[in-house]
Amino acid sequence: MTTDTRPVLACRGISLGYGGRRLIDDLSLELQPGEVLAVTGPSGCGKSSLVRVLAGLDRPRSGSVEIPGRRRGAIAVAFQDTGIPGTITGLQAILAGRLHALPWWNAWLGMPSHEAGHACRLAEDLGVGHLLDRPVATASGGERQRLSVARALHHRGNIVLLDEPVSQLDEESSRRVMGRLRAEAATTGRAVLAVVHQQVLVDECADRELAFAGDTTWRLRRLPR
Amino acid sequence: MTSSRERPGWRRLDGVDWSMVIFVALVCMAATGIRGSGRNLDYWANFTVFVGRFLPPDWSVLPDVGWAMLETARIALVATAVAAVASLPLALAASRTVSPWWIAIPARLLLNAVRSVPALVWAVLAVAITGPNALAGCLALSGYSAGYLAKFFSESIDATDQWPARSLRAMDANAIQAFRWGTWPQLRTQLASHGLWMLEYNLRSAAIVGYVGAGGVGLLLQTYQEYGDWDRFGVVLIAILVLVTIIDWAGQRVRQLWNPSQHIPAGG
Repeated sequence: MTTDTRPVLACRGISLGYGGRRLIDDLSLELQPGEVLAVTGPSGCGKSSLVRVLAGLDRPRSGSVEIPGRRRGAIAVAFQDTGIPGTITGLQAILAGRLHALPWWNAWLGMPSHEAGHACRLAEDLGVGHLLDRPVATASGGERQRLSVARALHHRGNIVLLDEPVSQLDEESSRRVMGRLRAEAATTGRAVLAVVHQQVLVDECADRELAFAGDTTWRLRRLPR
Repeated sequence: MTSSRERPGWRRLDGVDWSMVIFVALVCMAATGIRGSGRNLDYWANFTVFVGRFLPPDWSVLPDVGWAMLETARIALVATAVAAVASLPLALAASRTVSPWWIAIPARLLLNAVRSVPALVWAVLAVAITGPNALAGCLALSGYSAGYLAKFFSESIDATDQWPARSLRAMDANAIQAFRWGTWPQLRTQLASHGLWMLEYNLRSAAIVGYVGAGGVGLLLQTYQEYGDWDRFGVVLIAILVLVTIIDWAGQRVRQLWNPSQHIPAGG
């Protein structure tokens, strides 16, 4: 685990909402290297919105998101809707996580296939090794989620954002994925922020829990390890 | 708030229902305007006499018909390939998600203009330029097909889910990489399917454009019709039917190959 304790991402007083609806008020938090932060709360309370804001896809109503150092290549993200086309293979889906490491001109044919070994190991760890040579269209919803998680880990950004990575998985597979995320954070020093609904997984795998109450308030607590 | 069950019947109709009602009303109105010549003709007798002239088919012309069919297939293949290549930039220009409105609107108007000219008129124009030969058929069908394919392609591009590309952009892939690995995989099969449909369509069209001198089996149809050789005309029709059936069957098999979702998903 890394000894660097400077935050890799910091939210300063961000507020989120849509139209006249307020979701989250005045959220401040720092994501530390090597930690797993679980985000919990009822449906529609703003968890996915927070992931989108942290990923840079949406802007907060107020406040700011700061990423020290170079932003490019820093954030890996797996969304609830995986966004993986069905016609590519599982291996291509994972390798696409490293496109940012290719030269800008190498786009059409290029895929960082020299890193296929890492991608294959991730797929095996997450239980989707059988999909490497198969079209993603043949995968179930839970398998697509795991491919999406593998893609985010293959990206190798020091911030990994995961929106409900285990929502379609059975208990055993969920534990396997969360355990892999825990190990990734511990061994590489990456910070993992994951939206998770199952409290038992939060207690087992997370260092801290950011819990939304559903009424724009939130609570951040450290979990006993 | 009133639930849909509490509304009167006509207010429960949605957009599709209203479209169907309007369509049926238009069909009823159109049907009243369709009339025959007004002469006292025995339609059934006319039909049986005319069809009788096709029988029995004169198979002695089969070798000629075979060579003409081959030329027809060549015209259709080359025209479809040229149209597919030409239509890609046109489709990108006409796409609302790719091009700004000041490019998309003129491009769409151009495509409308190209499509509004029937294939036979394109063929007349091409024959006037190149003379009566297969090249005229290629040119005619290329222009006509490019208009159609560009419209289909641009609609496919507009209907593509942009989320895969956006999610790759969120992970710092550049715009071309995001298009290649987020959008293109969704488009590829659709574009190929449109191209295959156009090839099937052009095989039928290539048989017709020969009527005005643009090469292929249409030239035989025109000649046999001119001399009233309906038994030979029938052989050409049978040959076209066989070719179209083969292409239809082959097209289905190729589409099955392209569609990976037909595999049974593994559990888990």
